[in-house]
Amino acid sequence: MLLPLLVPNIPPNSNPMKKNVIIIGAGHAGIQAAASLREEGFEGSICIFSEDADFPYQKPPLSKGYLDGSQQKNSIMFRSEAWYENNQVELKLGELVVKVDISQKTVHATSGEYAFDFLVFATGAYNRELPIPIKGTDQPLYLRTMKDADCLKEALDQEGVQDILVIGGGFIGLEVAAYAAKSGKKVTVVEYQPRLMQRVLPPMLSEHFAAKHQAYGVDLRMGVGVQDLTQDSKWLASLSTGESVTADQVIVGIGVLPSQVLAQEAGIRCSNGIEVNAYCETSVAGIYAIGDCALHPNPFAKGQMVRLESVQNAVDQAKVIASTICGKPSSYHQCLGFGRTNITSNYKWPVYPKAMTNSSSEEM
Amino acid sequence: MPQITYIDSDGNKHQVELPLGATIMEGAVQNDIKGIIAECGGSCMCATCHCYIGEKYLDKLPEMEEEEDEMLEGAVAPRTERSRLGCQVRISNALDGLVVEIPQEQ
Repeated sequence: MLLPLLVPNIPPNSNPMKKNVIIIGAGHAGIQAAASLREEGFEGSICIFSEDADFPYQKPPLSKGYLDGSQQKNSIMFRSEAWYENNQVELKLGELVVKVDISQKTVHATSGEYAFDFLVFATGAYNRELPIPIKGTDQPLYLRTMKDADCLKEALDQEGVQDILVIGGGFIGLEVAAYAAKSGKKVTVVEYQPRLMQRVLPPMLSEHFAAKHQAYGVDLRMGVGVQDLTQDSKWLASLSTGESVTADQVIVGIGVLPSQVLAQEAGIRCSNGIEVNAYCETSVAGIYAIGDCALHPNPFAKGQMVRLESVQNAVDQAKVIASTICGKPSSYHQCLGFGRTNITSNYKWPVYPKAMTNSSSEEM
Repeated sequence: MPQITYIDSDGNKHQVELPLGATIMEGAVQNDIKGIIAECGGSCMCATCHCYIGEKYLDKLPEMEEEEDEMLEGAVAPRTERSRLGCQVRISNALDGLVVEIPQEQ
């Protein structure tokens, strides 16, 4: 149980295994942090705040099995409800943390103030938005949450929806393109960079995936930008080449930015992510950042600061902070890698450290 | 519901009942059985739900797709004749009584 801050001056508890941990974010990093803390024998309270009101679920299947219907809601949950109860992990779902006070060691959420001994930012990332003029009654579609995936699926499966424009030839864009193409839609993908997934893949693999998509009839336009979007009876996109593309639905996947505003406003050092050391500790002692939001020094990138959006990274960093909090400091020194499904191909890709140190995600 | 016995990565036995259609991976994760990581969430792309299927049930399993075959090649623990990815095996009545061993490493 977490104590609201009604009783001041609670004597500090010296046993690290009995302190209070607050985790912000219920994605892979946040849930794994809670699980690993309990596995390490942590006996204090653990409370997870999640903006998302849905019971904690895994995001990777949203653009894959969940979108194509082969995986249902209950099969992409991280843990059963009983697990949270048995492990005394408190969930505060649909609750926004509005402020972190590092001197008082409290978080201010919509339901009140909560005290912590250790705080973990597992806040993930948010979608980069199209920085172009958009005119229309609807908005183009983005994918991040389960709700987004439900909307996207409904929009794509609607009768009469045939022409699909995907802006962004990165992971999300291509996975959605693959789903739409497989369900018989006419799909155009517009990518600003000269090749697909340029930031994370070598040219050979970009070509491989381009060929796979083209074999499914996907019209790939590389090195092309979108200048504006107008919706009349259909969407009309004007391209940098002077051409235009019409579409019934427009889906945007142009990368993400780290969710770091809370940390930044609390005075924690941030740049392209919340900066952490090898122990995933931020510039403030006892406060950690893990997963997509954390900018960490990676020995496989010659010690350069790296921010990586991958499950492996999130899970491994969660384990690192769990053992550190339990008094057994361990550092993060994993090689970078991640897996993705694409049309008929699965890979666990090693990531190019050089590419990963770029300051931003997939460019438009 | 079919009964499945997991032998976790520490060698402990867990008997659970799983609904028809659930996967071996989901059954392990949701019942908090140690050793199945399931990084990708069941999309057949990470080989961290590698498990060894009880011999008697090998011919009762769904056939292996090419993707699973490729992923198993990259599994950390040795691949054997009994190796499958937990996320690709759905529970059917024919699997009632199945014993699943989880390797020490994923």
